[in-house]
Amino acid sequence: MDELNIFIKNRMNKSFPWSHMLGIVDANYVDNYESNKHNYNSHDFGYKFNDYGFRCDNFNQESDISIVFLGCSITEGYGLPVETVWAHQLLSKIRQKTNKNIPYWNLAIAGCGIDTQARHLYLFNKILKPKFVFALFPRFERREYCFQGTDQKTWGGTYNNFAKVDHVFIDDQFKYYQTARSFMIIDSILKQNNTQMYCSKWKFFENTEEELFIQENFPNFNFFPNDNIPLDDARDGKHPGPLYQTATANLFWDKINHLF
Amino acid sequence: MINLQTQIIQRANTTSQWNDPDTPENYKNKTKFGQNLYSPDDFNYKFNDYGFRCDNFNQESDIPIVFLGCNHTEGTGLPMEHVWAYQLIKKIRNKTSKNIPYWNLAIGGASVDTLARHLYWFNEIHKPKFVFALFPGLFRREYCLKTNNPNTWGLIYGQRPEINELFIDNNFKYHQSNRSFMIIDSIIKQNNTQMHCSMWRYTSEEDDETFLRNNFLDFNFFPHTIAFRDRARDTVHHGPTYHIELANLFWDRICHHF
Repeated sequence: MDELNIFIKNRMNKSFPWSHMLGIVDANYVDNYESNKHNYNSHDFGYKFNDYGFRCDNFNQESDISIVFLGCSITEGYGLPVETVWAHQLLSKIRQKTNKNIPYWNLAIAGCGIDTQARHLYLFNKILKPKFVFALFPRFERREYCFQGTDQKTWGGTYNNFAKVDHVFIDDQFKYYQTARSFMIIDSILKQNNTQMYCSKWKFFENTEEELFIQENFPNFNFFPNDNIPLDDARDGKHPGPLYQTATANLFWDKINHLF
Repeated sequence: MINLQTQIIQRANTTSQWNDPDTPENYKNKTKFGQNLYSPDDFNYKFNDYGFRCDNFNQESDIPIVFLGCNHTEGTGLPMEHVWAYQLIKKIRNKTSKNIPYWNLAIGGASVDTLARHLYWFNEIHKPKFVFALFPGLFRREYCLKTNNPNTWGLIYGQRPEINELFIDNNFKYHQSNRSFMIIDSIIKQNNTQMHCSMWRYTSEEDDETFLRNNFLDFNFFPHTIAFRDRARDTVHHGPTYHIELANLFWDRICHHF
C-alpha cells in the first residue's frame, strides 16, 4: 500500500487552471463555469500544489506556530482562489494578530473523507507536529478503502460508488464504526503533541446525529456546528463561494482567537 | 451510536469454569499429544471490572505495562499463571521488585482492530510505559454492520456472505490493519511507550509480518515460530510449553529495559 494515492501523486509540484484536470469529475470544469452564475472570471486563479500534492505551502518551511488544516474540497478551495478559502482567511487573521511566521499547511483533499484526513494527519504529523488543527469535516459516509488494488480509493455515497462495496459502506453502523477509527487516530495524534483542535462539519444536509457523535465521543475536538452560514457559488457552481468561506472563517475565529 | 468501549462488559466481575472454545465438549477431544494436561477443576476464568482476565485497572502501578493479544494472550484453555504474558510480568516483577499490576487487554478471537480500540479506550487509565503484544493474523476484522455492537470476522469463523468478498481481499485487509496500527502507533508515541511485539504464525502470516515490520518500526516486531508440543485444556490452543518459550523470547528482547 502506497502512502499517498495516485490522485495526489499526479499533482505534486504542478499547477492547473481548472480543477477538473485533477481528476474530479463534474467539479469546476469549463462547462460548469459557463452555465453557472459565478463570482470569478475564467482566468482569475488556478490550482498550485506543493511538493506533496497539497494546495498549500511546502512542508519544509519553518513555522513559529505549527497549524494544520483538515477538510475536503471546501477546505481545499475548489472553485476559489486560495486566498478566499476559509482556512487561508483564518490563517491570515492569526498571522495578523501574532505577527508570527506561520506557513499555510492544508491537508485537505477534494472528495476525501475523514479516513483520508486521519491518514494524512498521521503521515505528516512527523514533519508538521501541529500545535493547532482546524478541521471542517465532510459527511461521515465517505470512505477510504483498498480493494482489488493497492491504491486508496474514496467511496463517496453520492459518487465513486462501486457495487461490490456499496451495500457495506452504505450501512449506518459501518459508517460510524469506521469514522470512530479515524477519529481515534486523530485524537491520539492530538494528544501526542498537546495539540489544540477545533472543528466543524459542513451542513448542506441536516445530520445532527453525526455532530452529536463527535461531541459525545471526542470532546477534545472542540466541535461546533456550522449553522446559519450563507451559501453562494464558487466558480464551479458546485461548491460554496466566498461568502460561505468568509462566514466559516469568522465562525472559527470567534472560537479560537483567544488562543493567540 | 456505536458501543465503542468494550463488548465484554457483560462478563465483568464474573468467574466461570469454561470460556469458549474451552468447553466441556472440546475438553473431551483427543489430540495426538495424549491425555489432557488439565482437569476441568484445575482453573477457571476470573474477569475484572471491565471483563478482562487480569487485575483491575484502578490499581496503582510503578511501571504501567499493557499486554495485547487474542486467545493465546488471554489464555484460553490455560490457568492464568501459565499464559506467556503473566510469565513475562513475573520476570519483570522479579527483576525490578516493583508493584506492577497485570493489565491484559487480550480478548479471545480479537483482531488487531479490537486491540487498537481497547488500547485507545484504556490508554487514559493505563498510560502504559510498555506494551507487549502477540498479534493475530491480520485477516481478522472488527466491524459494525446493521448493529452498533462490533463483530469479528475471521477466515474460519464469523463469516457473512454480504461482506466476505470485501473482507477476504488482501488490499482491504492491509488498509484496515494499517488504520489500526496508526491508532496503536499514535498512542505509544503519546506516552513514549516502548512496544515489543510478535505475531502468531500458523500458515500464511509472513506477508503480514513484513507489512508490520516495514511500516511500523517503533513496534519492534520480531518473528517467532514455535511448534505445537502440547495443547491447552480446550485441545485447540497451544499448551503451556509454547507460553514458556514465548515468554522467554520476549524476555530476551526486553530484559535490558528493566
